[in-house]
Amino acid sequence: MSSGTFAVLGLYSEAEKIVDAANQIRPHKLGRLEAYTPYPVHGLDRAIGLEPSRLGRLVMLMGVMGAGLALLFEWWVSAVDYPLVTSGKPLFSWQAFVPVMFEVTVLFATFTAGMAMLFALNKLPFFGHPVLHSKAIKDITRDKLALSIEATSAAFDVEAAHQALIDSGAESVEIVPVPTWDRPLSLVGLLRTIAAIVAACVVAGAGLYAAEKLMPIVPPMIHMEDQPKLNAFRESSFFPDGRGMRPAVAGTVARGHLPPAFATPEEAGTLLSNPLPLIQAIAERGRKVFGDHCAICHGTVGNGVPLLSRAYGGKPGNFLSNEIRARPDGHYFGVLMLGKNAMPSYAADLDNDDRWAAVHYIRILQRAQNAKDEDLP
Amino acid sequence: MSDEQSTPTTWGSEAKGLANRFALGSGVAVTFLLFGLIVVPALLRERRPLPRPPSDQPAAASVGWLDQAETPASKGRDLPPVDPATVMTPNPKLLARGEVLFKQNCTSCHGESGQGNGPAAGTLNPRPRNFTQPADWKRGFHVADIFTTISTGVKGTGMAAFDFIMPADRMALVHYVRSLGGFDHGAEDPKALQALADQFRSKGFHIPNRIPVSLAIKKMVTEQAMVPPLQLRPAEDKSASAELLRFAIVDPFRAARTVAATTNRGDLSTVARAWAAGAPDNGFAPAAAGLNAAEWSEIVRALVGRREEARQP
Ligand code: HEC
Ligand code: HEC
Repeated sequence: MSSGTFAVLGLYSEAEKIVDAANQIRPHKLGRLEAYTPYPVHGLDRAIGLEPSRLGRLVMLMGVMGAGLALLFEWWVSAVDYPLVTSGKPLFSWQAFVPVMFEVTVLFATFTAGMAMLFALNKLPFFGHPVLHSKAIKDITRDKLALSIEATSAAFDVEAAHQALIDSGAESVEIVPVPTWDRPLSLVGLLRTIAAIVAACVVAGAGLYAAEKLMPIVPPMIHMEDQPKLNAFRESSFFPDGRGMRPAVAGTVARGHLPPAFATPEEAGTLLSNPLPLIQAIAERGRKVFGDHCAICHGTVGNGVPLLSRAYGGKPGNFLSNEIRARPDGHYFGVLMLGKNAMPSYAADLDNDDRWAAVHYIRILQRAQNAKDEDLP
Repeated sequence: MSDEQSTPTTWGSEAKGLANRFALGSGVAVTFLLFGLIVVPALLRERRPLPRPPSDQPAAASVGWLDQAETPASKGRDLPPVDPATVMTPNPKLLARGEVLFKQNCTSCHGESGQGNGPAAGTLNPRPRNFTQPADWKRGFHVADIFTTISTGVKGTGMAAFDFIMPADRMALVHYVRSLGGFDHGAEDPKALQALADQFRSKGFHIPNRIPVSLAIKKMVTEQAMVPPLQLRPAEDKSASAELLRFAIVDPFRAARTVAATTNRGDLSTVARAWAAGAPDNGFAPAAAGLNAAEWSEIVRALVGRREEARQP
């Protein structure tokens, strides 16, 4: 008889009563105590003999393990297996490993917390809890509190449990049988579920296909690439001249795009002078422009040794050579506007003040590499 | 029956508690051990002073050594003159040096094997010389000719002057360039060779003073002469020239610099063209380009005249 019993339920209507009852019944060790209450009851957890959760310790342990493993892993990868110097730092730069350690710690800890809580401590999955099918569940979810003595072994004594609940002052007692239905996670059940999902996909797909193809009210799927717009460098049937990019209105120029008044750098050299005063801020601006745009080819000190020497085929001018030093500021500006041989034009990438600041900076580099005697510290 | 009495501590629960604590403790211990065995030794190793090359530079100057622009200042020096005997005729060492320099400085235009087909050659007009055949040489392919070409460049072409390369290295390049052409270079002109040898004997190579860029900035900023802004004629001044100035100048600060930089630029129309070409960055209005010659000459006269006035206190 006991093998068919899941638990014996006793119903109470007051919180104090169920706590007292639990305290009274627990020493008899009739079975595992469990309580079902519509609201939390203070002290009930201790009364039914619930120990503090082990989850915290578990999470701690796994978190520490995660940190240790991550450290070990990073040390192995970057200092042993494939030693790679990064930014001139030692191979084992543990400070750089901390973010990954942190991430792995959190990963291990959260997964442990979630998995251990669900599967190890709460013993899920548990489909169709028997108490949900008891008569008492209506009352439990309304205003009654239930104490259940669960059968933990074949030797479970239903009579004794029944009596103990009545003795403790239960208003009514119910014997909850072990459910008789198939375990839902059987192979058949699983196959059925999969089949149902596949069937749902097929039906939904066929329906959508039919809706798109057969019913004209549903607009066809719009792909991202067919947008009705003009692409600057594509042809377009919209304008008579077949071009997407529109030419400027005759006799106008775009703001800030005044065409240069010179045709060659040499001509620019005879026409222009640097309008920016060489103050600290301009020098810094020039240093930034030069570092961002020019040093890659002309070298940090302007000696024409490219930082990307292997990748770049050209031979940039050496700003320190007498030939280039002798050229006027305007010549440099002209080169920046028009380009020169393998030197690309910077007309589109910089504004005029950036260009003039870069010209100042070239002069500074020339001075730095060709300093006067009184400049020496 | 009180709660505590009802659950007497048993050996089982005691052992379980102990096991729990042991697990926790060993986890912490393992972590400390990991740090102790990996992090601490690494830190100690990092602490170990690196051997430093002996240096007479002050400590502050060695900061930023990774930045080429901030290398410590160094005094310029003169390299002694080259002994012509070592460079006038090719030898294996010279040719090896020449090959290295050629790869660094010339292949981008003249190509790996000197055929004038380097990656940058396509952008050049005239095209770089093909060293493997005798045709088209403008300056000649004798030793002294090539030396001159490398030293002074070819004006108006992509061929720059490589005067920053030391003379002995330039000679290495000369011999390497000649070795690229399998053709007969003909007899040398003994007079030109003698002149070249004399030049080597008489003059060394000067390596200039170098200072960090930040110091150069400081020097040049302090040397910079501040130009006071142009005083445009007051608004009440309704004379034609005052109106013109107010129309033509949008930024009196920049315009002042532009005017100050204008020296010996020839006649009025050249100056006017130059000022209009730099607009609007140079302080002049772009619309001023539409002014006629008379109006411009009025502006130039007014501004340059004024500058002269300002010069004489
Ligand atoms: C893609 C590489 C590259 C970049 C980036 C580059 N340059 Fe150049 N530059 C060159 C080359 C190559 C030359 C030589 C052109 C020639 O003489 O054939 C050159 C020449 C010059 C010259 C002319 C020297 C002369 O012979 O008159 C100036 C001035 C100059 N560059 C300034 C700059 C400035 C300023 C920048 C940054 C805004 C810059 N360059 C960025 C490749 C580059
Ligand atoms: C920016 C491209 C460029 C680079 C870099 C360059 N050259 Fe040239 N070189 C040229 C061009 C273009 C000519 C052709 C000039 C002409 O036809 O007037 C030329 C011509 C020459 C000539 C022949 C001049 C003559 O008599 O016709 C020699 C010699 C020469 N270069 C040597 C060198 C050497 C050595 C180097 C390396 C240190 C070098 N060049 C680097 C572009 C370059």
